[in-house]
Amino acid sequence: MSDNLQIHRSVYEVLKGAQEPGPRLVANWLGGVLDAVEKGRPIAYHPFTTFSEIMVALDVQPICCEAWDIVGLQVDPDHAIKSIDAAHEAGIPPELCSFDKAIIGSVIRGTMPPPSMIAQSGMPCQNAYITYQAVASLTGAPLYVCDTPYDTDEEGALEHWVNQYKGMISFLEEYSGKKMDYDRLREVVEESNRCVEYWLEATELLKLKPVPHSGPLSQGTLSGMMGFGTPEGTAAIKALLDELKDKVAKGETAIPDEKARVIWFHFQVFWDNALMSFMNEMGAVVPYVLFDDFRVEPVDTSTPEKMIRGMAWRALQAPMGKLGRGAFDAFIDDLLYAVDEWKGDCVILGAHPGCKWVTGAYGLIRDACRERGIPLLLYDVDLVDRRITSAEESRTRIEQFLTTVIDR
Amino acid sequence: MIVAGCDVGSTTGKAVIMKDGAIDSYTIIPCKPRPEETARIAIGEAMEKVGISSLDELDYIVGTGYGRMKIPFANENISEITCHGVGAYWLSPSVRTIIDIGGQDLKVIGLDENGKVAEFVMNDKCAAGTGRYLENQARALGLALEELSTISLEATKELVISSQCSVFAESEVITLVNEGEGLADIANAIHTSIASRLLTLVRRVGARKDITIAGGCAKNAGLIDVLGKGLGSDIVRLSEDPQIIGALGAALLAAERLRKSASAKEQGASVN
Repeated sequence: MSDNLQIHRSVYEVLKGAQEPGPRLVANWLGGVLDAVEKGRPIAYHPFTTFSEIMVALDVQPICCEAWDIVGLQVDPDHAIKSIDAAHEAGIPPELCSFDKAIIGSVIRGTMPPPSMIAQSGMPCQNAYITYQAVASLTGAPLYVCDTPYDTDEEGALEHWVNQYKGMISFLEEYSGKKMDYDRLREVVEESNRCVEYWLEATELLKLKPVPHSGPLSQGTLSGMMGFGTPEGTAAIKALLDELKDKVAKGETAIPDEKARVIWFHFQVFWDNALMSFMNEMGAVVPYVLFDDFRVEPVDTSTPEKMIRGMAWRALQAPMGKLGRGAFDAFIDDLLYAVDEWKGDCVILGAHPGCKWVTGAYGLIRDACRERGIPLLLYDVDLVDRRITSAEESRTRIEQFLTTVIDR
Repeated sequence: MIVAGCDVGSTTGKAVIMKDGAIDSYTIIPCKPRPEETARIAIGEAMEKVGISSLDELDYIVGTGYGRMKIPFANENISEITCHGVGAYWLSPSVRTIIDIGGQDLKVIGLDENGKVAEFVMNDKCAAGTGRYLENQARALGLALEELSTISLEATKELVISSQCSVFAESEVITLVNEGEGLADIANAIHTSIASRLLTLVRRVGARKDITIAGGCAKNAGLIDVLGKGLGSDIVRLSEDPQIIGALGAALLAAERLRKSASAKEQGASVN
């Protein structure tokens, strides 16, 4: 009998004995999922903008669907392509975000274990709304989708949002058959608070010029997706922070001669890890990747009510969660803030074709950068499907752009 | 000081030799199967024109274009976007927007007041609107490329080619021929369809004046005519062959590199 989970099982087997916090975090998460599959424990799907603290506190195994496919991509560059094709064959429209099509396709192919329930905070974007409905329809799993406010400053919007978040807790309680222990939730949220604290400190260090690290903070990303609120998640980001501090103390920099600082205002291209190194070879560093911009406040854990409100508010401020809803002004403001704070010389925005929330606003982004005299490269590249723009095309475009930036 | 720029594009190779800050010679040749071969022939012909017998006589060579990585004799290679900017600005310092229609891509480059590239957009994902597209449509009409260019100016009727895809556009052209439409009108429709695509890119970088056009298609009178009408302004014609602008920019950058290197040596000597 074929093992649809073979890729993830093999990653787990390789990493399960690892001592380093990053690999241990991945192994812990994968091991938890595989154990839940084997023992029939409840599994909850969630997008990366729905943090897993509630699930961790309820002892429901979380699967951050994007993270599951990212793991697959690291082993098989065609993992997402196979899933995307499966989604297309099932009638999913090609215009949908490929990240989301990959999730649906992985469910169809059985390469992602079926969910017992699906918790969706209504973010990060419109694509995700339809994706989790499709997954629910395909698997028969119950689905809860929060109704996200368009404008949180509007009267009553925040109360509405907090109630939506409370509804998600009730939903997970109902379908897992477990009752929330708020003391346990406090422990979990205190853990995620520590994780956020380290994360913020790490991203502060990336404001240094020259920068000690170039490219995404992968361990931070993984902490958010695979272990938010777990000691393993906190340990991974703490290790990253310690590494950065050590580099700074020793005066080590990402590259010897920093000629340009790139604000990468989208997610990294997950199938092309070498792209960041390519930019380094040109003398460019990437001190900022949108996904790492986790400017959130610690959650007040003094009472269950305050804790839920804090978690709900934090969810609204998460990377992309904040920018994928409401007026586009927030996106522009954050982009300019990133340029100022992380001392960017230019902005690269490699938005993939299904990312309508960004591609639809190219003109606004261009105008904002032009007004400030910030060189901007907008180019089509799919984050998970290498068929749209090849690695070679990607490098050609970036090289041409960075040459002009460095030349300035 | 003798320097050279060599631009190996997708359909032609260009070389420019400059002596003491002036263009000494240049060549434009069709591409050979291998970029190295194209580069060697192009630079060889340009050298021959001015009696240079060895590459050693050239003080600095900059390669550019899609094949720039494969020019073994170049001292350095620089992106064609930078080179086009430098070349066009040198010829006409009032230029702020350059439309470069190459054999297989389109680029629109915006320059700042100092001639530096401020922004650029390009289409290299499909053949629509490129030199190759024009070649295909000319063939569908049974015309030489030069004929397509001039006959278009005689158009009397406005026809529309709606498809942006070069394959479907060719079908539309064949349909128009079969419907008995005049060749001049069809040629004009082909140019209008390219111009509409180009105008979108031009406006995206701001369409700041002066606007000029480089690349082989800049020699296409029919296209320039419709493009100028679409822009609502004259297109500044450069004083040199528009096809050599990239190679010219490369030669100018070669001269600059040489100057900088000499100046660094002088400074070093004075310190010592």
